Amino acid sequence: MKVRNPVKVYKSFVREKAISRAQTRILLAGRKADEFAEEELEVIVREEEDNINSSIRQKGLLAVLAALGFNLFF
Amino acid sequence: MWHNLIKITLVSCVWRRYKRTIIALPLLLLYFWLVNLVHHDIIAYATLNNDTDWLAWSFLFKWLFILLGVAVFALVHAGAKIEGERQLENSLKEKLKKSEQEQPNTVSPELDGMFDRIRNKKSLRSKADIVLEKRQ
Repeated sequence: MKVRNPVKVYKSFVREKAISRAQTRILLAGRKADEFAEEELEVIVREEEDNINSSIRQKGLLAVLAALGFNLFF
Repeated sequence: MWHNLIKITLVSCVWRRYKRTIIALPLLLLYFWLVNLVHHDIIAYATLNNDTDWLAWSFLFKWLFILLGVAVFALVHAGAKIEGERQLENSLKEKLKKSEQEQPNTVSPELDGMFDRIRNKKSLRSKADIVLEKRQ
Protein backbone atom coordinates (compact mmCIF):
# COMPACT_ATOMS: atom_id res chain seq x y z
CA MET A 1 0.00 0.00 0.00
CA LYS A 2 1.33 3.40 -0.96
CA VAL A 3 1.51 5.86 1.94
CA ARG A 4 1.11 9.49 0.94
CA ASN A 5 2.67 12.38 2.77
CA PRO A 6 -0.13 13.70 5.05
CA VAL A 7 1.03 17.32 4.61
CA LYS A 8 0.72 16.94 0.84
CA VAL A 9 -2.66 15.25 1.20
CA TYR A 10 -3.87 18.09 3.42
CA LYS A 11 -2.54 20.75 1.04
CA SER A 12 -4.11 19.14 -2.00
CA PHE A 13 -7.41 18.74 -0.12
CA VAL A 14 -7.40 22.43 0.81
CA ARG A 15 -6.43 23.45 -2.75
CA GLU A 16 -9.22 21.35 -4.26
CA LYS A 17 -11.75 22.77 -1.83
CA ALA A 18 -10.50 26.30 -2.52
CA ILE A 19 -10.85 25.80 -6.28
CA SER A 20 -14.41 24.54 -5.95
CA ARG A 21 -15.25 27.41 -3.59
CA ALA A 22 -13.72 29.88 -6.04
CA GLN A 23 -15.81 28.43 -8.87
CA THR A 24 -18.94 28.72 -6.71
CA ARG A 25 -18.07 32.28 -5.77
CA ILE A 26 -17.60 33.24 -9.40
CA LEU A 27 -20.93 31.63 -10.31
CA LEU A 28 -22.74 33.36 -7.46
CA ALA A 29 -21.32 36.68 -8.62
CA GLY A 30 -23.02 36.01 -11.95
CA ARG A 31 -19.72 35.84 -13.83
CA LYS A 32 -17.98 33.11 -15.74
CA ALA A 33 -14.57 31.77 -14.83
CA ASP A 34 -13.23 32.22 -18.38
CA GLU A 35 -13.79 35.97 -18.04
CA PHE A 36 -10.89 36.05 -15.60
CA ALA A 37 -7.19 35.95 -16.24
CA GLU A 38 -5.13 33.19 -14.66
CA GLU A 39 -3.58 35.66 -12.22
CA GLU A 40 -7.01 36.81 -11.07
CA LEU A 41 -8.18 33.22 -10.61
CA GLU A 42 -5.01 32.52 -8.65
CA VAL A 43 -5.76 35.43 -6.31
CA ILE A 44 -9.35 34.23 -5.78
CA VAL A 45 -8.23 30.66 -5.08
CA ARG A 46 -5.52 31.94 -2.73
CA GLU A 47 -8.07 33.98 -0.80
CA GLU A 48 -10.37 30.96 -0.47
CA GLU A 49 -7.42 28.83 0.61
CA ASP A 50 -6.58 31.34 3.35
CA ASN A 51 -10.22 31.33 4.47
CA ILE A 52 -10.29 27.53 4.66
CA ASN A 53 -7.02 27.41 6.59
CA SER A 54 -8.15 30.02 9.09
CA SER A 55 -11.49 28.27 9.62
CA ILE A 56 -9.68 24.95 10.19
CA ARG A 57 -7.39 26.67 12.69
CA GLN A 58 -10.39 28.21 14.44
CA LYS A 59 -12.12 24.83 14.63
CA GLY A 60 -8.95 23.28 16.07
CA LEU A 61 -8.85 25.95 18.76
CA LEU A 62 -12.51 25.29 19.55
CA ALA A 63 -11.77 21.58 19.85
CA VAL A 64 -8.93 22.30 22.29
CA LEU A 65 -11.21 24.59 24.30
CA ALA A 66 -13.90 21.92 24.30
CA ALA A 67 -11.40 19.34 25.53
CA LEU A 68 -10.31 21.69 28.32
CA GLY A 69 -13.95 22.32 29.13
CA PHE A 70 -14.57 18.60 29.44
CA ASN A 71 -11.63 18.37 31.83
CA LEU A 72 -13.14 21.12 33.95
CA PHE A 73 -16.53 19.50 33.75
CA PHE A 74 -15.63 16.04 34.92
CA MET B 1 -33.93 51.81 18.85
CA TRP B 2 -31.19 51.08 16.31
CA HIS B 3 -29.22 49.33 18.99
CA ASN B 4 -32.10 46.94 19.64
CA LEU B 5 -32.74 46.44 15.95
CA ILE B 6 -29.09 45.51 15.37
CA LYS B 7 -29.24 43.19 18.37
CA ILE B 8 -32.35 41.41 17.07
CA THR B 9 -30.89 41.09 13.56
CA LEU B 10 -27.66 39.69 14.94
CA VAL B 11 -29.42 37.21 17.20
CA SER B 12 -31.72 36.05 14.40
CA CYS B 13 -28.74 35.67 12.04
CA VAL B 14 -26.83 33.61 14.59
CA TRP B 15 -29.95 31.58 15.38
CA ARG B 16 -30.68 30.82 11.72
CA ARG B 17 -27.10 29.85 11.00
CA TYR B 18 -26.25 27.91 14.16
CA LYS B 19 -29.72 26.73 15.21
CA ARG B 20 -28.76 23.07 15.17
CA THR B 21 -25.54 23.65 17.12
CA ILE B 22 -27.24 25.90 19.67
CA ILE B 23 -29.80 23.19 20.40
CA ALA B 24 -27.46 20.21 20.11
CA LEU B 25 -24.60 21.50 22.27
CA PRO B 26 -26.55 21.93 25.55
CA LEU B 27 -28.19 18.56 24.87
CA LEU B 28 -24.75 16.98 24.46
CA LEU B 29 -23.55 18.56 27.71
CA LEU B 30 -26.71 17.37 29.47
CA TYR B 31 -26.06 13.88 28.12
CA PHE B 32 -22.46 13.98 29.43
CA TRP B 33 -23.73 15.14 32.80
CA LEU B 34 -26.27 12.30 32.91
CA VAL B 35 -23.66 9.69 31.95
CA ASN B 36 -21.38 11.06 34.64
CA LEU B 37 -24.20 11.02 37.20
CA VAL B 38 -25.04 7.39 36.45
CA HIS B 39 -21.35 6.49 36.62
CA HIS B 40 -21.00 8.16 40.02
CA ASP B 41 -24.06 6.32 41.27
CA ILE B 42 -22.60 3.01 40.13
CA ILE B 43 -19.31 3.80 41.89
CA ALA B 44 -21.16 4.75 45.08
CA TYR B 45 -23.22 1.55 44.95
CA ALA B 46 -20.11 -0.58 44.33
CA THR B 47 -18.19 0.99 47.22
CA LEU B 48 -21.13 0.57 49.57
CA ASN B 49 -21.37 -3.13 48.67
CA ASN B 50 -17.58 -3.58 48.62
CA ASP B 51 -17.95 -5.11 45.18
CA THR B 52 -15.40 -3.37 42.97
CA ASP B 53 -14.65 -6.25 40.59
CA TRP B 54 -16.64 -4.87 37.70
CA LEU B 55 -15.80 -1.19 38.31
CA ALA B 56 -13.46 -1.18 35.30
CA TRP B 57 -16.43 -2.06 33.08
CA SER B 58 -18.28 0.94 34.44
CA PHE B 59 -15.44 3.24 33.38
CA LEU B 60 -15.28 1.56 30.00
CA PHE B 61 -19.02 1.96 29.45
CA LYS B 62 -18.90 5.56 30.63
CA TRP B 63 -16.32 6.43 27.97
CA LEU B 64 -18.13 4.36 25.35
CA PHE B 65 -21.33 6.31 26.00
CA ILE B 66 -19.44 9.61 25.92
CA LEU B 67 -17.85 8.66 22.57
CA LEU B 68 -21.26 7.59 21.29
CA GLY B 69 -22.65 11.01 22.25
CA VAL B 70 -19.81 12.74 20.43
CA ALA B 71 -20.38 10.53 17.36
CA VAL B 72 -24.11 11.34 17.31
CA PHE B 73 -23.29 15.04 17.70
CA ALA B 74 -20.84 14.85 14.80
CA LEU B 75 -23.43 12.99 12.69
CA VAL B 76 -26.05 15.66 13.40
CA HIS B 77 -23.55 18.28 12.26
CA ALA B 78 -22.62 16.32 9.17
CA GLY B 79 -26.34 16.05 8.36
CA ALA B 80 -26.74 19.81 8.70
CA LYS B 81 -23.72 20.38 6.51
CA ILE B 82 -24.97 17.99 3.83
CA GLU B 83 -28.38 19.68 3.91
CA GLY B 84 -26.77 23.10 3.53
CA GLU B 85 -24.58 21.89 0.70
CA ARG B 86 -27.61 20.36 -1.03
CA GLN B 87 -29.47 23.65 -0.80
CA LEU B 88 -26.47 25.51 -2.19
CA GLU B 89 -26.13 22.93 -4.95
CA ASN B 90 -29.80 23.30 -5.89
CA SER B 91 -29.56 27.07 -6.03
CA LEU B 92 -26.40 26.77 -8.09
CA LYS B 93 -28.09 24.34 -10.49
CA GLU B 94 -30.94 26.80 -10.94
CA LYS B 95 -28.47 29.59 -11.62
CA LEU B 96 -26.60 27.40 -14.09
CA LYS B 97 -29.83 26.49 -15.87
CA LYS B 98 -30.76 30.15 -16.15
CA SER B 99 -27.35 31.13 -17.48
CA GLU B 100 -27.42 28.23 -19.95
CA GLN B 101 -30.81 29.33 -21.19
CA GLU B 102 -29.52 32.87 -21.63
CA GLN B 103 -26.27 31.87 -23.29
CA PRO B 104 -25.18 28.63 -24.93
CA ASN B 105 -22.55 26.72 -23.01
CA THR B 106 -19.14 28.02 -23.96
CA VAL B 107 -16.79 26.39 -21.47
CA SER B 108 -13.38 26.51 -22.99
CA PRO B 109 -10.80 23.78 -22.49
CA GLU B 110 -8.46 26.65 -21.65
CA LEU B 111 -10.33 27.19 -18.38
CA ASP B 112 -9.73 23.65 -17.21
CA GLY B 113 -6.09 24.14 -18.04
CA MET B 114 -5.96 27.31 -15.97
CA PHE B 115 -7.45 25.58 -12.92
CA ASP B 116 -5.12 22.64 -13.49
CA ARG B 117 -2.13 24.95 -13.48
CA ILE B 118 -3.42 26.57 -10.27
CA ARG B 119 -4.01 23.11 -8.80
CA ASN B 120 -0.42 22.06 -9.49
CA LYS B 121 1.29 25.21 -8.22
CA LYS B 122 3.29 24.77 -5.06
CA SER B 123 2.09 28.02 -3.49
CA LEU B 124 -0.37 30.58 -4.77
CA ARG B 125 0.39 34.28 -4.97
CA SER B 126 -1.74 36.86 -3.22
CA LYS B 127 -2.74 40.16 -4.79
CA ALA B 128 0.12 41.86 -2.93
CA ASP B 129 2.63 39.29 -4.26
CA ILE B 130 1.52 39.94 -7.83
CA VAL B 131 1.73 43.72 -7.39
CA LEU B 132 5.22 43.40 -5.90
CA GLU B 133 6.30 41.08 -8.73
CA LYS B 134 5.10 43.57 -11.32
CA ARG B 135 6.96 46.44 -9.65
CA GLN B 136 10.29 44.62 -9.71
